[in-house]
Amino acid sequence: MAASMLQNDVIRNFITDGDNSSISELAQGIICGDNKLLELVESLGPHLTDKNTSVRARGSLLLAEVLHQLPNNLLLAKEVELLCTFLCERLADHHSIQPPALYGLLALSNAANLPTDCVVQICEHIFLNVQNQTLSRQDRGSVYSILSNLLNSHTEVLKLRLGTNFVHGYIQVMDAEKDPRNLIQAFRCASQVINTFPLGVFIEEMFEVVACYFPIDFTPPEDDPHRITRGDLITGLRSCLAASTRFGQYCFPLLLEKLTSDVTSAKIDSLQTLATCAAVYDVKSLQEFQCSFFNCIKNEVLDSGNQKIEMSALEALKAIVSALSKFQVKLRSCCQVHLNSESLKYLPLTGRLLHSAAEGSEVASVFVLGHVMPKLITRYTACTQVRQRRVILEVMTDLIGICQNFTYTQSDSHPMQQHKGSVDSILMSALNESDPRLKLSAAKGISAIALLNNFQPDVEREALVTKILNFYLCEKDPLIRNEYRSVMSRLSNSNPAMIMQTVLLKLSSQLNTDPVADHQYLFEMFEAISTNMKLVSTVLEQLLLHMKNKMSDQNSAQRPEDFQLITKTLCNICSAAVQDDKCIGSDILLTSLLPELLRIFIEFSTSEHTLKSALFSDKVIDNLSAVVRNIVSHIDERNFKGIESTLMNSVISVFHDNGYSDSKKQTSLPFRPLLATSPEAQLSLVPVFTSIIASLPQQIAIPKTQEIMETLLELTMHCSQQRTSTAASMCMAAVINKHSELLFFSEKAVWNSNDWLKNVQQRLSCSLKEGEVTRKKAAMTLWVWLTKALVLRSHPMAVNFVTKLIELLSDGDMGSLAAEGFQTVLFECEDVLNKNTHAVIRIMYRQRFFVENVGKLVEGFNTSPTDTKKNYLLAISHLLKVLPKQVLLTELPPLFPLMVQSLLYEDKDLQLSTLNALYDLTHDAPKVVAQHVDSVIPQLLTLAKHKQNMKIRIAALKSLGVMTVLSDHVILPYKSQVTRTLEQVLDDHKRLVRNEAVLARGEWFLVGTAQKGKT
Amino acid sequence: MSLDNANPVIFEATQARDVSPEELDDDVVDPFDCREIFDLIRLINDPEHPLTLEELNVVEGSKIQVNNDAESVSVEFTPTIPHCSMATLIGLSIRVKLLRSLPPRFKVDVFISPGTHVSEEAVNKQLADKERVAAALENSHLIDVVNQCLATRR
Repeated sequence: MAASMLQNDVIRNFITDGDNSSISELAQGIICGDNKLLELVESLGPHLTDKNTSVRARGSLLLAEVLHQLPNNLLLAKEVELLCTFLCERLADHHSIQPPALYGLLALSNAANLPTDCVVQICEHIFLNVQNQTLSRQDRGSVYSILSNLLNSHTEVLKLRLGTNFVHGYIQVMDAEKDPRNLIQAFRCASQVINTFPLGVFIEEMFEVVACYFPIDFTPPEDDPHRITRGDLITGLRSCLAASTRFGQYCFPLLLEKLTSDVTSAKIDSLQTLATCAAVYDVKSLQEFQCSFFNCIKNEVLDSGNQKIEMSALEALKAIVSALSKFQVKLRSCCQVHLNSESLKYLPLTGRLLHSAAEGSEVASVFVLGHVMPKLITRYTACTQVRQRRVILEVMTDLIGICQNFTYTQSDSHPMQQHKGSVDSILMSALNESDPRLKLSAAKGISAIALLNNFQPDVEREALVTKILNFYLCEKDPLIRNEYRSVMSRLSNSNPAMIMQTVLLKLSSQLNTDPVADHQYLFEMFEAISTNMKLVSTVLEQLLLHMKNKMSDQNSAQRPEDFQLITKTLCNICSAAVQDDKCIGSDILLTSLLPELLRIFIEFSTSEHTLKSALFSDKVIDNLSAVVRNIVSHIDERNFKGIESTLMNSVISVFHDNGYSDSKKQTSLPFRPLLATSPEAQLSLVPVFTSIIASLPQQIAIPKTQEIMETLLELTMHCSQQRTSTAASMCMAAVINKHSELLFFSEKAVWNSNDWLKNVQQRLSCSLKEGEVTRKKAAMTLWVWLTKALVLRSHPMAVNFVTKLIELLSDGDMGSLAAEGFQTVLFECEDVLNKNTHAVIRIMYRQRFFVENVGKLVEGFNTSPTDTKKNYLLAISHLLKVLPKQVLLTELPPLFPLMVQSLLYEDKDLQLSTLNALYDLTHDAPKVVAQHVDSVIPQLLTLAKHKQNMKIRIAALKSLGVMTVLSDHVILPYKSQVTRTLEQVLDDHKRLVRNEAVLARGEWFLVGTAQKGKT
Repeated sequence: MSLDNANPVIFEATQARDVSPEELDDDVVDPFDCREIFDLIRLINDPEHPLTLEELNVVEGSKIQVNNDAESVSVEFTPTIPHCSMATLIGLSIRVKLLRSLPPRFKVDVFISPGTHVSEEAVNKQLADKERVAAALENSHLIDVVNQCLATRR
């Protein structure tokens, strides 16, 4: 009782009189156990709830003072929790209560038994209720101390429970702190926060709240009792800046800015901070600023004249370089291990690693090659196994290839320079090895060296290129030859002059000196180096010259394939040249090659010559047509009404108007290729004429359209040569397809294509009804092509033509041709009526065609006599093949039974076509196919043993194999039957059939096992 | 289960066979040859690795013999390491593959290349014993593993 009396006195004295003297007695009482904390709180009760705020404040202060005097392990967790909750709530009370409450919390934050919930509670309440900036210096200090205590002893709890919220709270607490004493504490906390907490979205704010003090400008007062120096603050701040690796992006610009200031101390501080931070921050952000920093440092060292600055600058430079080269050291040590290891298993992988590293920059490539090349060379010479040598050679070649990307302007800096001799000898010896793969690697190595710029004098390089060319000419392996060709092709792009001088000369002389030899290699090389206009024109000149020589040589008649080769080469060069934007600019192909080629062929067709059969063979003409097509279809829009119209006029005059005259020699025959009675050689040039007319862009008008069309029509109907007649049909189809009435209104002679079409329709219908078979066939071909032309552009007359075509399916003679016609109509043709030759093509014309005509076809199938039924089926199978999957799925179910019937017809084309369609459908529409397996599988098994035709056997086996994608319950019943039947097919006399049988049987064995479906 | 040979040397696969004009002619009889047999077995998957027997050099074209007249085929295979526990399984897979892919008139021998495996004789004996092969194929677990080796990768 006496004790409590004493207590009450002390309390009263403290609160009303401001007497602080007896606090320690009170605390001592509690420590000894004479008094209880509970009693103290109880007696304090009225004061703590008093209406007067100053009384409440004094009461809280008394409690806080007592708490400070107690040892930190005296209070139990429960007591701490209670007090903590009470004091936290006081934070939300009147502002004058906050300081004593914070003071009390400071005492509690030290308590050994502080429960984790309280840790969180204290922080949350401080962040929520305390406006740190409004408090006095001392109270702000309390806040920092509380946070510091909690951070020290309860980091994990804070990190786990508060995370980025704590970061956010702390940023608000620390914001705008001015007092150096508090700053020292604040910096310490900040560096801890940055170090341990995930900064998340607050990274920039966190940086800003610290970095705003940089550079520290503080001079302590003379008699400062706290002895805080500028150095202390600088260290504190720097430790914050260097606490996160991610500050680089914000800190480097700041440092750069301060480096350029005039204040010496700021410069030194920046340099020193840079030195500290460069080691910490990630290299990426440093790389961004490395050049600017280097310039600044260089200026400081050269110009400042201040020794302190110079020292700091050098330190900073050292730190930057060491941070940047951390990587190189790692790289080197990692590679050293694999390059030196006994087995070469990791060499290719290490090689790839090194490749990427060296590719990074010129300096990096010098570094990597300098380190690695000598090692590779020694390893190569030490190795005896071909396989290992090849691996090393490949890595070497790969690394040499990197040097192509860089210039190495100083002559002695090229990383390959010092290894040149040894690498050369390695490659040359490898080229003489027998292993083709090693040889190929060596060829690649040589090519890589030839492609290096600034590596060897031009003379040496030319010698190397000549050497490669010689290797090429004696090489048998196609892969190695290909490699040599590609290097020449690349060289001709980068060094056309050198290729002109060395390669082209050599090739030409080779071509002319040895007329009998196989020139394919030469032609292929010609093709490879034709990469720019100048080379193309020279090469073309050479080839034309060569062709003329051949023509005047009587021996050429024995070697018709020579002409094929030359024209094929011309064709390839042209198609590559027109693709290239740089080449098309000069219209050399159009102005010189095309007329020259035509002249040569026309000249020969009009003379009596033994070479005719060789020169006018189908293949040569096909190649020639392709050349012409490539050139004409790429006529540049800019030159309209220029050379093209002249060209067109002369073409028409020569081919159509009998306007060809040979200036040089007396022609024995007039040139009239469009006349059915002309000699064969002249007629065989009709495809070339078609290529010109049919490949023209739509805007270019064809002179005398009407006359030409009439002539072509006559030619088609009366010519006995099928190629000629087909070509003429194609030509007419192309004209009809592109013909636009609008364009021709502006011209004088308006040709009405509709009238012409109607006329032709009538005429062809007659020819198809009666007449000899060849006439009928010719009419049929023209009909099909005209149908295609009209269908493509959705012409109103297309319906008439298609309906007639469907009717013709039931014609005994023409039915199968009509069925083939569906393929012609729907499939893209390489020669005419395609995108490249500027045909008018409406989108989804195939779908429209299908929707419009499939009904008629099915109906026709049902009503037609048995012997022509198959024509309908064939037409339908062509239709199915071109249809996109999405449309197919909805249209297929009613058509599928027809397909099953098709398999039963003994017609080779129909069966093949259906089998191919079936193969695709099984993937695309398995559900539909599954409904018909009971009829399909047995028929496929029969076809797999088809006697006459291996193609049918193969197609049937493929379809059988793909049946295994259907679900197990559908096909499992057939497993034993299929595997048993296929056992017989395994012994087929054709290997290709056996292969398919093996595949199909293997798949069927897996039906019903766990493996099916996984594969 | 740890792998017997965790890090094998990988060999390059052969290119697909070129089709000759004779093969396209329906009237010419193509005899079975070594390359055809090799093509049958080279794509078998190794039980341990996602690699084929060819890539592991377990089977080689030069170690296959075919005799069309005597109707016999013999295949030698080389386990990657001499104590490979998978040797029997590999041999069985080759056997089953040939069983499914060759006409029954051929007599097929599958055996380990002499001197490349510690229990060469025992394995060869097992593989040559028709009854034991048949019995092995009745074992549903075993046939699953074999099928796994034979499944083609699409």
